[in-house]
Amino acid sequence: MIVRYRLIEDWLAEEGIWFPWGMFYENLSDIFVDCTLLVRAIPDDDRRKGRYFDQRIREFRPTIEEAEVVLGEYADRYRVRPEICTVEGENHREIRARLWEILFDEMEKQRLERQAGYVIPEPAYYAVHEQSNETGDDD
Amino acid sequence: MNPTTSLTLADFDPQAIAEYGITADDLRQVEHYLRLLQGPDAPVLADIAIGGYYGTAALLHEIVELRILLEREPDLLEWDRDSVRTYWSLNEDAHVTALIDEYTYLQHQIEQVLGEEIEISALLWATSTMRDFDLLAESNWPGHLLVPDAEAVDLARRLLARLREVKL
Repeated sequence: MIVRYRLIEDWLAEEGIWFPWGMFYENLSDIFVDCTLLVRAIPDDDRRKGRYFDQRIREFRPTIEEAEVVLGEYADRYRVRPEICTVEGENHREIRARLWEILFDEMEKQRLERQAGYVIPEPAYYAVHEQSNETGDDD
Repeated sequence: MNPTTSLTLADFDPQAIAEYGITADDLRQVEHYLRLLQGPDAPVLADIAIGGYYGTAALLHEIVELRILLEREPDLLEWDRDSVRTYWSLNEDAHVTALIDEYTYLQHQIEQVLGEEIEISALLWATSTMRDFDLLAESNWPGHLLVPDAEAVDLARRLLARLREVKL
């Protein structure tokens, strides 16, 4: 079974970054038969948002190409990456496990990139006149 | 507005508070944890702030989840937000255990307080997400989890609405 998916990112306002949150993926399973897409995401306990996304999927029945429609009123804080990727597995459970690995890899990659960005370079020189007073105020 | 600043342990079911040994410090930790995960608004804090049996169920979820995570990473609450989220994604089992405690508690209270019986699957379907339903279905939980019919889901919604109004 080959399933197409797209990554979802959410906006972390305090950090000022988009960060991986989950993915929309095509529902090729025999559960939730009224849903064209399913969500694999970190279980952040925000059920209002989760139920809203579920309801939008049932209402609009979007294809993976149309996944943005699911975001609705959350479109200012969430975005769907444009790339459509594929994942392969024997069954739904295996697909979900694989998606989880991909999501973790994405989160870890971005986290490490951010940490690397914070590294403060060694100063190229040291101040040698720290005790001097350039203003000339000698009192 | 910070929805938990006025909360005290007295807002919640005393039996559950005693059974889980929940303290005022736990409340503060849960608030900090939720803001780390969900941002400054932390919508789940509003569910907890309802108090009573309904709010207690939401609180139990976070208490159980956080205790598991802190046992594994005692400094977790000192981390930055994306590190916590990345770590969290590796510990999905903590969320599943929390779901089980939360919904078992709700089922029990509906039986005790309202005298009605309802399946956990119907409660979960009525209030949570497909994602959570799927997670529980894939877990090792020995309970019976079948997709409920519309009638059961409707009953679950009505019972939860009644439970929400019950004062301690």
